[in-house]
Amino acid sequence: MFKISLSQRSAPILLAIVFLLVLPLVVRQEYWIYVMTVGFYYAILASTWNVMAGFLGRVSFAHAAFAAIGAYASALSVLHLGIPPVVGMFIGMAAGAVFSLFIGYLSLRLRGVYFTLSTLAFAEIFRIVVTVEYEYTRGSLGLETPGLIGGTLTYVPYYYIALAILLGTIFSIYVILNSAFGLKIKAVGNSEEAAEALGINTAKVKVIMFMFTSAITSFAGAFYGHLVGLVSPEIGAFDQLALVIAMTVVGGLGTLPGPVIGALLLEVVSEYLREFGIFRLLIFAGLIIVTLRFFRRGIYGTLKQVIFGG
Amino acid sequence: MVVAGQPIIENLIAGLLMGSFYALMAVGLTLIFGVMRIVNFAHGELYMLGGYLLYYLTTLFGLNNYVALPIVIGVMFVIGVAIERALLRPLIVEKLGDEYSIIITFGLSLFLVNFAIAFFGPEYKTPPPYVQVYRVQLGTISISGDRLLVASIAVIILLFAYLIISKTRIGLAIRAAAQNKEGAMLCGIDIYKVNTFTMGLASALAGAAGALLSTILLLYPQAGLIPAIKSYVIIALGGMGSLIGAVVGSVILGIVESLGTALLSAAYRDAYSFLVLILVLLLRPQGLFGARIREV
Amino acid sequence: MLAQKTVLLAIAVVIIVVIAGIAVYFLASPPAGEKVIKIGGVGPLSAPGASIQGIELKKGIEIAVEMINEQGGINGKKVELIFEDTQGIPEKGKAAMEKLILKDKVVAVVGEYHSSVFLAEMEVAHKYGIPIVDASAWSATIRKKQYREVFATSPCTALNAEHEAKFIIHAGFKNVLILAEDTDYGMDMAKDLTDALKRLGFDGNITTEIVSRTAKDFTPTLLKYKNSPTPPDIIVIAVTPPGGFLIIKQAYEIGLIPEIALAYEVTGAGDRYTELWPAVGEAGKYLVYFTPYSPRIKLTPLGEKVREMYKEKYGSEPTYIVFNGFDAAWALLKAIEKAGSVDPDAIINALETIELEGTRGIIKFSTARDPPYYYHQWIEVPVLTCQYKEVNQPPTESDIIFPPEYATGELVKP
Repeated sequence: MFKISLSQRSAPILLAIVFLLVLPLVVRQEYWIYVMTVGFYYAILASTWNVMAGFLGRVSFAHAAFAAIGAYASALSVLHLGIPPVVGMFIGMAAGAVFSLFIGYLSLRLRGVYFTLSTLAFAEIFRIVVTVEYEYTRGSLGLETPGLIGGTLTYVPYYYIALAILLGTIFSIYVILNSAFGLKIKAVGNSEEAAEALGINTAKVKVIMFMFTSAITSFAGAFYGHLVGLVSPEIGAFDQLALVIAMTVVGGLGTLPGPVIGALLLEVVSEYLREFGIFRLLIFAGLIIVTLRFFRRGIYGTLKQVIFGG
Repeated sequence: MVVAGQPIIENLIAGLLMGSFYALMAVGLTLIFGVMRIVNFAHGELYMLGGYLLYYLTTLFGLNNYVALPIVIGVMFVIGVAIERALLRPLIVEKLGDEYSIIITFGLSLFLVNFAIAFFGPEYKTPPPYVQVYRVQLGTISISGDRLLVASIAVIILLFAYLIISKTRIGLAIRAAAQNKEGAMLCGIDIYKVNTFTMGLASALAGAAGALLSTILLLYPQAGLIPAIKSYVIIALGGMGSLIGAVVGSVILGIVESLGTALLSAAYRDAYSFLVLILVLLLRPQGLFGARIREV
Repeated sequence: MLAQKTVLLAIAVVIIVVIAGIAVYFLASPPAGEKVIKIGGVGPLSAPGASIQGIELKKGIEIAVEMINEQGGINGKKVELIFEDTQGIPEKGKAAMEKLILKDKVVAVVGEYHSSVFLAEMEVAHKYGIPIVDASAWSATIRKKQYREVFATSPCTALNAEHEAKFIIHAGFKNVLILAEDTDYGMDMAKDLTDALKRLGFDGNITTEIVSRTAKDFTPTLLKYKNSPTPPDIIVIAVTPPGGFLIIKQAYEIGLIPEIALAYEVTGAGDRYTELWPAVGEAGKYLVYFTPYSPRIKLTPLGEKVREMYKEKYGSEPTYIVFNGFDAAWALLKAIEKAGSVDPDAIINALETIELEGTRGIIKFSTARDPPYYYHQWIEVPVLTCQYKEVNQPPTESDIIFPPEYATGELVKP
């Protein structure tokens, strides 16, 4: 069994978790609870994207598309099969796993850029299918979907569910990275050729992690669909992807808490930047460039370096 | 000549014309990959910038299109150099992995699109045409006059680029670096200069494509996104790093799209290029003319 | 050493967290003040929403608020508009509504351009029972849900299709080709138009072809129809720009329009003449287009006033979206005045019974439930078909050719 040492290192993290757990009871504004819930959604997406891009060095442009796949799969199955939304979420997760297996198997064996290109192609094909097959997906108008918890007027339950999914995601990533399999992941991330030379089946490692992260992303996407009550192509849009990447990079690519910090920070900031409309994405893009160019490890990484020196 | 109700020749010509535009972008992209081993995800935005440069030169400064075009090419070259120096240099110096170039060019792409939205405005703009001829009749075939002219200019620019690469010293250096980076360095070639020049050249070509096409198609901040995606498909199809592959791939894609739309469904038009990409990855990842890819 | 630094980090994090917590709590408390009436505005001001239209919408609503404040406000109280950028994303629309209703405590909401976003917004309005007036979201689905809180002064796709069908029949066209974009807007449009034509007794030919909205080259499809044995005599273009403009240009290049067929642009982009003419050039001569507004339409005195105010502030002619925004906001404000209170139910009742002068006619909301899209919709919202008869003609000079009661000229063919 693994040990979670209650060392001084984990103190701030536990503090943050407690803070988040207590937040809705202190701040009773539905609006902020809603914003934080959406923030958790982005944190999940950023964390999973970070596993592939930050730890394995494979950049996926299909991340938002997987969230959308989960959302649509869940919404469609709830609508046509009459199952409860919670089950729909798991169907969404399964859909994500299946598609990621397909793409992953196709392109993860090849050089890095080919993977990125095929995720791009996949995302585009998905977007086109959703808009053209509007008989099923209701196209840009959006597919209506029931809330996760029927008949509730408050977002508090959604907040805690999202937080639970987020904590579960982070925890499982932590466990995986610290396991024997995690050693293989780090090896592959460091140098795929060296890993191959050591006898590690790098393709298998990459595909498994891609499936794992895509499944979680789709699960989160399904949740998001039931949170908003409407599943529309925007979930998988380019801008959403850009936001997730910005959050991960600014927070700290290749670190564990980085994406979460980046996601919550940028989501809250984005609500304030509403005044600036047009400049919002410009600022985020600038942040990506500046962070990657000068502060490679993002906020968390830089802070850690400054305080721990190294 | 009509087959199954479709005027084949007109479609073929339309496909060829589109192909010449795609080629300008694909050639630049494949050059960057060949020399620097990165895919520039901001390539579409270089196309878009070229278009806006032409627009402002002709409308704000009242320059003639033919005078503005070389200026655009020059300015875009400089912009390409600046991008390489500012953002891409560390990638080579610090030997960073693929993901950094992908993310940073992606960030650049995002930045440029939103910069255009914020400062140029999201409305559609159309610069004045190179020639005011809308229809050219060749027998029973009707072609767009300005499209024909613009495609010819594109071909001329491509030929210039070809001459630069095959007949000049810097061109030789580029080819050497593309073939074998370490070997070229051993021969005393300044790899940094080569990278900078390559980026500048590719940027100039993309900018030229934008300056030419924006008079035919509409210009708006996101105008570069779709041509860029098609370029990725083309270089994958033709073989990443292969110039001939880029040209051949462009022509093939132009024709496939044209015929596919006419014969099959028009709604899925944009999806054809992606299906092509997936087929390539499945069957022949190195493309038509590319070097064998070391599978990892 | 390590322990010391860890403690430092822990303290730093705790301080940040506490400050953030206080800040959030502080900002989350409701603001005080009852001497103003607050209304909320929603619309896309940035990407991926249609920001040009969103900004115009906001301007229209702002003029309404300004005008009513100049007249002394509503029952003595000033009106304050709080406008939120919904970015064309349903989730942001929802967030905006939550913020406006819970945090800013608005009494009603007006606006929106994107139907999908409005669909998300109206659920929040319905949840809290707050009235919301649709200014420019056209989808019939919005009306068909028949929520009590939802009112619409915006044109509606189903109503527009009725108008277009009437025009086609009136003008005597016999062979209709509908080019529709591969989105729900395009395909719904094609279906609504086909249904309307059949319902009104059209006995000619109707063909629909779905095309990709983002394609650059429509020539293959257009050639197919040009060379067919029975080419169309009118091409309905239900493709938004840039595709729509490219279709017009390319159809001209191959000789399909205007000799063989006339082009009928129905997305409402026909009056965006600063973008249209550079893009299509000669191809735009004889272009017929559907528009919710023309500068030559007879405006009401109120409408003229709004137009003057807009021209003075912004130096150009207002587009129909500005008028849509104004009418929606004006109807809402007048209803609040009529209700004499800010109670949501009172406002809703007032909206159901009010009849007021808008910018283009008398606004009143129907309470009919059949057809379903009539409910709480301003059925008489005027929509027009116009034609450009010269190249580079602005909408201030183009003729309104249908319906006859607004017409300033006749349809002309080359």
